[in-house]
Amino acid sequence: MRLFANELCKIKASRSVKWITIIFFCFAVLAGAVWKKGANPVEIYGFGAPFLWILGSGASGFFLYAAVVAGLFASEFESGVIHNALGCGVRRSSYFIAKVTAIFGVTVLIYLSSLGVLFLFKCRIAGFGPAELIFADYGRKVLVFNGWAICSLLSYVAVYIFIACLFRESVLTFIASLVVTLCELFHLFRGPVRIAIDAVAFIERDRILTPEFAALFMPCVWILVISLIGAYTLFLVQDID
Amino acid sequence: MKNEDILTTRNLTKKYRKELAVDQVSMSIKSGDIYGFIGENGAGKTTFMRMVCGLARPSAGEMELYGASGKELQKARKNMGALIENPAVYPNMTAMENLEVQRRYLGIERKDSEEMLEGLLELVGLADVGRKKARNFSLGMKQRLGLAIALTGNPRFIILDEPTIGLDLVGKAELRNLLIKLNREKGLTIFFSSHDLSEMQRLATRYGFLHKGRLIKELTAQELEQECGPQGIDAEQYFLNLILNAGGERKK
Repeated sequence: MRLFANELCKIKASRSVKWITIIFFCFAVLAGAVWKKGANPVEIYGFGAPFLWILGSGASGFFLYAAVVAGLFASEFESGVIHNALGCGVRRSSYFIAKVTAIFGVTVLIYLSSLGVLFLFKCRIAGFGPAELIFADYGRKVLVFNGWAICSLLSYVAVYIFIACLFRESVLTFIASLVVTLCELFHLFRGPVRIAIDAVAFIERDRILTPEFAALFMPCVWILVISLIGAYTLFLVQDID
Repeated sequence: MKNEDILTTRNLTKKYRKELAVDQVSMSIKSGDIYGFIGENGAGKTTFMRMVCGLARPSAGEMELYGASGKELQKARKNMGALIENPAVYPNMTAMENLEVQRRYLGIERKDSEEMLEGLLELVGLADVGRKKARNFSLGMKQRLGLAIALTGNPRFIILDEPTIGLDLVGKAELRNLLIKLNREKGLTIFFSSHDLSEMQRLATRYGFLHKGRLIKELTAQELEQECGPQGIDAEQYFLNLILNAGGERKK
């Protein structure tokens, strides 16, 4: 717990993370404020389009946030602060697990908070109200959709963490992380962002609560697991300069 | 306990591809020693210290810290502090917050710690700037904060890699006096490295001369004086002669 508390303190102290979080919340406010109810089946649900916009848009602050956090991880190697921990008896495995848990936890917190902000502004400004919530299983669909969306976002964060463990330099990590995102946005490979955009079709056909929808996100799960295993192995095995 | 072995290494080796950075170094540091590790740039001092701290894995050889070895080594490091190369501080945190981070790493309870951490800042001369962010500190102040971090938890053994680098004359003297005080009053065992022999002579009670990864000579401060005297040379010349003769010689 104390290692986890340390990691939260470090993230909290980072100016970059603070600014990126503010930018991301501003996007959420804007998305909520400009949203208009329409006849589009996705928008009838009241949440699909804006959230997909957040998830799928390379202009959103989120991937920038993830790259910044991974850069923070890498900067601990650069600055040598990681020596203070390992040199006083902290196990590498404990250090890694605490750090990744904190990064994932803050990521989910920011995502859910911005979701709440977006929803609030939709209700206040665009008039989305309780009547729209009576669609069958609306609550479950929101949970399932956002659960998978979080999974896909965390898979990206995991890739960035792997890059951080590989390069161990903050600027290089930041750039490499953004290059990976841009490669996907320019269709060079099919990853979490493209998968999330493909999820729109399932929303339109009201097929969120189906095994097929879950199967759509399986590559994200694999990316998450493989990236974390790779990052953990690198962190455990490599010398710390 | 006096004369207890704090650190013992046997044929400790580190190889990077074809290069031997540390070559079968066997040495021991006893409780209360101020052990000076001297060698030219690239001699392997930092690499050796990084292995002792667990930052680099030895390619061969053994190491014991407080009698612990293998998987128990990391646990034994809880009673050790280290300042390796540049002072490692979080620039967006205050000096006190940096020490709080280290306190949590060591598992020290918060309720026991405030006095200790404030005492540490006072010890290193940073009591007035404890609530200021470290990014505004000079190199000398960061070095002192790094030392305070290394001393968190009252370790019995501390490793300092080139601790006076970047410090001015006054800063060097203050650091030296502090380390001597900690050694005499609290029995702190100090293992430090430098390529500045004159600085080392003011502090060390024992010396280890490292050249191209090999420990070519170990002697006490008195033995150094006794060896230099009859030859009519100073310590620096003695060391240079050691390097010149190092081709076929290992530590006896």
